[in-house]
Parts: sequence; structure tokens; C-alpha cells
Amino acid sequence: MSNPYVPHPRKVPQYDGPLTLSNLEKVFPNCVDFAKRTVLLAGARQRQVTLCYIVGMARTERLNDYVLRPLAQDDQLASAPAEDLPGLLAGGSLYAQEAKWITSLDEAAVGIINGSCLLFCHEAEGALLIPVPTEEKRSIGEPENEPALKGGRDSFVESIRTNTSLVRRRLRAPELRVREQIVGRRTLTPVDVVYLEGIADPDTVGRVEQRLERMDVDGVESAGDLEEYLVDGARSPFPLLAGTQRPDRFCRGLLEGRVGILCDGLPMGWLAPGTMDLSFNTGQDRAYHWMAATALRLLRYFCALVTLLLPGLYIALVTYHPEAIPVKLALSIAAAKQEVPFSTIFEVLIMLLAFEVVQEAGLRFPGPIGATVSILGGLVVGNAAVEAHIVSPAVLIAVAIAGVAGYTIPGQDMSNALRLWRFLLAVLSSVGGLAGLTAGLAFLVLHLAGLETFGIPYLAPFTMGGGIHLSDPSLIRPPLPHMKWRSGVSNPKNRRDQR
Amino acid sequence: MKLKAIRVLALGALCLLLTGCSALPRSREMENMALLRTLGVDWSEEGYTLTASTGLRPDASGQEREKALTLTGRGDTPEQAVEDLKQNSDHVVFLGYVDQLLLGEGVVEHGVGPLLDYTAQDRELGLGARLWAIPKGTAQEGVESGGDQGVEQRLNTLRLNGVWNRSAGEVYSDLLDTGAGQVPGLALEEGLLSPTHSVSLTLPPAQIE
Repeated sequence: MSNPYVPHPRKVPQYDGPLTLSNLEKVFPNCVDFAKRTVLLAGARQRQVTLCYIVGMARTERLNDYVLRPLAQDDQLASAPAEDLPGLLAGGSLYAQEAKWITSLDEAAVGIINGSCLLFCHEAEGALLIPVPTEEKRSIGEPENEPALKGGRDSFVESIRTNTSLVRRRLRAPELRVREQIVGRRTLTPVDVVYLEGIADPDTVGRVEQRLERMDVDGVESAGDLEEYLVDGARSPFPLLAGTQRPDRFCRGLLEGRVGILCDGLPMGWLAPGTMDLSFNTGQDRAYHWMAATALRLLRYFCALVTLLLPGLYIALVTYHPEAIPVKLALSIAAAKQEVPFSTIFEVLIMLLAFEVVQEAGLRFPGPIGATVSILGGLVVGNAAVEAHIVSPAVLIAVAIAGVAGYTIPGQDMSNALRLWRFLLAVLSSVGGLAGLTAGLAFLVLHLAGLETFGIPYLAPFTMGGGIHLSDPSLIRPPLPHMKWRSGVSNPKNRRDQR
Repeated sequence: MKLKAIRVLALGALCLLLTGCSALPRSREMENMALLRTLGVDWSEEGYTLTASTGLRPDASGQEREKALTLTGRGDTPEQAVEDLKQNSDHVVFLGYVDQLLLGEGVVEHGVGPLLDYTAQDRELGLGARLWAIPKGTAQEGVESGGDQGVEQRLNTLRLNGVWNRSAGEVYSDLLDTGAGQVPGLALEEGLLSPTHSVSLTLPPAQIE
């Protein structure tokens, strides 16, 4: 019996032996979706070929019309010498956009799994690989997580080729490079590295490709399977890759000189380096008038501070520094707290936790029920908790404002990170008041300043270190005709982006 | 980098010890606090007498108001009197919201130097409160004239009606600069505090800057 604890097994080639029909059948033993059919070439009994494919992966109409029909009707295939048959088939007798003669059993196995069919000529060694894949995929819909009022309404889908075509349709430049790597030993997932030659930093491209090459995992099934291997982010909850569902935002990142990553099966793309400003910018920033866009961007940063600091600030002011609260508010808080049996920190933590529970429950419930649960949890339970003197109204308001403010941040991963940190800051505030809150904030800045994404400081838009030449201020969005330079954050090779 | 961060944090924690325990903040729950709004100060041969009032307090429902809480404390110095005031209360006494400071005739005659020195140095009291003097009466009578509602609202109304008033900081500054300062005077008329002529306060020459 084999030892189950041996290191991750890797065998190249995975399947030994020449590419023959019998060997291929051994690769897929007892698989009901593995199919083969032996056909006579133009009805000649002395000349047979065998077609193998995976049912459901190969498209029946293509097999019938573009492979089986020419095999049955082309008289030349029946009369040609046996040794010329592979050349004839590969050379154009079949109505296929691509036909490749292969001799590797590994390549054959992967090929038919990806929707190709294999044509075995019994006299020849090897087989002809002809792609006839099904194109069953979700149609391009609207980006649910990043809706746009003024802009494109298309979203990435699960098919990587559809996604690259969405990018190509927006960036028609021939300099757009799409390089593919297969990641995951079992899933064999295609992952594409997309960038603009001459603009993207070759160093960043190299780093991304190197990371992908180094990934040696069983499979890539979720966004985290890719994100956590591409960046050294295990010690930080902050997103070091910027994910987006929107092709227009993805293309804007490529134009800035960032490197894009697309993965088959995941309806989103990533941009590297994923500096902090990407979590606060939206594709809509360029759609609105610059004054409105600037105001909204500043509002998002303000809301990030609110969601992060408000619960901690409330605890610090109420329990340590009441002199900083206006008298009437202090009297009101003191009165409301008289019947509440819990300490302020406990109240705040209960409400923060309740907020997370309601949010998580709202996500898990089916759509129509989710909205009901959110309303029930938010309004009814909250109101009942106040009336039952379990929490005071001021705590409910502070936590609700902090929670709602967190939703203004476009990057969900950034929002999640801030939610985690606000728990920590609330605890520190309960220990040391404003001093504790300030110490926690200082530690947060220290932590953020220590992060790097593909060699670029995470706070790069706001820092001038590391020889980075910035272009426009990141906190505001100037008029577009004035933004003549690409952001220096991604270290683009061509800085000027307009006359 | 990690080691450096740990060193910085350790150094910061060490620095906290240098402040002494009294400098570290103490947590207090607001519902346990007596938020004093008015402080009356009297002086006699026995020392200082402080009379403090919270004014009307909203109750838990927010619909009705609880009557004012009045506390007293005595001591040879203002600091001792404040400590006594805190000891005499069931609540955590908080002086940070004292907006009105009433001086009785004893303090006016004895001198306000020690009192203002103390308020200037106290972390909670400070010099932001409005300063009033009662030249013919005690501050305790003034504070208690407000009854269940406290006197804070009456003094606030006088201020909003344009009655001349000064902050403790302004008076203290005048005293330190020139040795004398004017304070608005109040008199008890039919149980109600009413404005009267201003009162002159002086400092001993040794205290003048």
C-alpha cells in the first residue's frame, strides 16, 4: 500500500507508453463519458480510423459535420497510400480550424479532456488532435459587484477566452500580449498573463509569470487559490492584488502599465501591482465630472476612516475622555446607558458581531429571503435590543454608521480587512482610550508601510520612497486633459499617455 | 523589518512606564458618573467648602428628567475639598463639564489665587468655566437656590441674555498680569440669582508676574 504522506507526487510524463488507442483507453478506464467510434473512410472496408472524444466536452454537431462527414465522403482518403493518410487528414481533408498530429499520451489525454477529438489511423503511430469543443458558457452579464451608472455593462465570465476577447475588443493595440500558463496538476487551469508590451514593466511581468510557474498545487477553484500564491499576503488581510469584474477597469489598469491576470473558471480579472489606491478607485471615477469624481473619492477615503475608527473612537471617548463629548450628548449617553447592564466595550463588540452575523446570514440566504433577513436583523432586532436595554441607542448608531460606511469602499477585500482591524482597534481603545486607539492606528500604518506588491510598496500612491515618480495626486481625480502621465506606481516604460 | 517593529513597540511600551501610573487613562462608565455642571466655592476659617450640582438629568427613557444631584466637600485646600467631594458621592464625580463657577463672599475676601491656581492645573476643571461672585452670601446658597432643577440653567440664561460675564481664564489672566480682576456679581433676590454690581478680585503682590 502506498504511503499517503509522501510529498506531492509529480511524474513527468504522467502516462508511459506510445500514443495508441489501447493505451488511451487505459487512461480512461470505465469512464462512461469516454466514447470511441470506428468509421470506414469513404466506405472502404480495408481502411478504418477510430475517433475518440469525451461526451459533453466535444460538440456533436462539429464532430458530425466537420470530422465524420469528410471522412465518410472524401474518396481520396480511401485511395491514398496508408503512409500519406495522416498528412492528408492534417493537411485539410477535415473541416477543422486546427489539426495537429501528436504522439504524446499526456498531450492526447489533456487534449480530449479540453474538448478535442482524437483520430487514430490504425497503420500510423500517434493520432490527429482536432479541437471540437463545446462552447457552453454563461452569457456576458452585468457586473453585480461593481455596477455602473455611466459606463459599460459587460462583465467578465467564467470562460477565459471570452474574457481575453472582451479585453481585445477594448484594447485593440497589437502590443497587447496574452501569455498562458497551465496551473494546477489536477484542474489544469489555464491562467493568462495580459499586458501591454512597451508600457508594462517587464520586471512585474516576469515576477507574475515566475509566481505562476512556481505554483504547484492540485487545483485552482477559487480566487484565493490564485491570490494567495501570487502574493506574500499571508500575514496581512489587505488585498495585494486588485480584483475586478469589469473589463473596462481591467483595461484601464493595463493602460496604466499594470499586469493583468485572467483565470479560466473565475469571472474576474486581477491587476498587479495591487496598490492600495486601486481598492478605493472605481471605473466610474473617469466617467463623472472631475469635481464630482474627486468629491466621491475623498468621501470613500473618509468612510474608510469612519468604518475603521468610529467604534474605537466611541469607546475611547465614552469611557476615557468624556470631556471631548458635547455636554448634551454626554448627558443623553449617560441617561441611555443607565439601564444597560453591559460595559461600553462589551456593548460595541456585541453590536459589531451582530452586524457581521446579519451580513453573513444575508449572504447565505437565497436572494428574496436575504433582503428580509437583513431588514429583520437590522431594524427589528436592533430596535428591540435598544428597547430591552441590551444596548444603548448611541452604540447602535455608531456601529450602524461604521457598517454602512464600509460599503462605500469599492474593493470588497479592503472592506473586509478594515472590518477585521476595527475589532482590534475597538479592543485597544477599551484598554488605553485614545492612546490605545492611536497606538493601534500607528501599528496599522506601520503594517501597511511594510507591505509590498510585486516589488512595489503597497502605499506607493501616497509615498515617495523607492524612487517612485508619481504623476497625479491619488486622493483627487484631476481633469482628464491634465492627466498627461501614467501613474508611476506600476513603473511603466512609457510615462506619457496623451499629448 | 519585523524585528524593528517589535523593538519600536517594546520601546513605546517602556515609555509608558515613565509617565507614572497617574498619567495613564482610567476607564469609567458614563452611567456611573455624576456629570457636575455648577461648582460653588466658599471659604471660612475651617477651610474650603465646595457645593456642586449636576443640573437636571435625563432619565433612561429620555422622556422625563431626574432632579439635580447636589454634592458637598470640605478641605483645607481646594484640592482636598475636591477629593472630599468625590469621596462623598456614590458616583464617579466628573468635573469636566463644570460650566459655572460661583465664588462666595468668603473666597472673594480670602483671595481666589489658590482656587484659580488649582483649577488651572486640574485636568478636568480647567479655566473654561464662567466665573461669578456672590459678594453678600455664600456660593452654597447660590447653588442650592436652583432647587431640584439646579442653578446651571439660570446662570446660562443670564449669560445668554447678555449679562456681562467672564471666564475663569480671563479673570486669572488679569490677576496674574495686573494683580486685579473684575468678576460679574450676583445677589440672591427672592430665592433667585440676579445680576448685581461687579466684584473686584486681587492677588497678593508676590503672585503677580
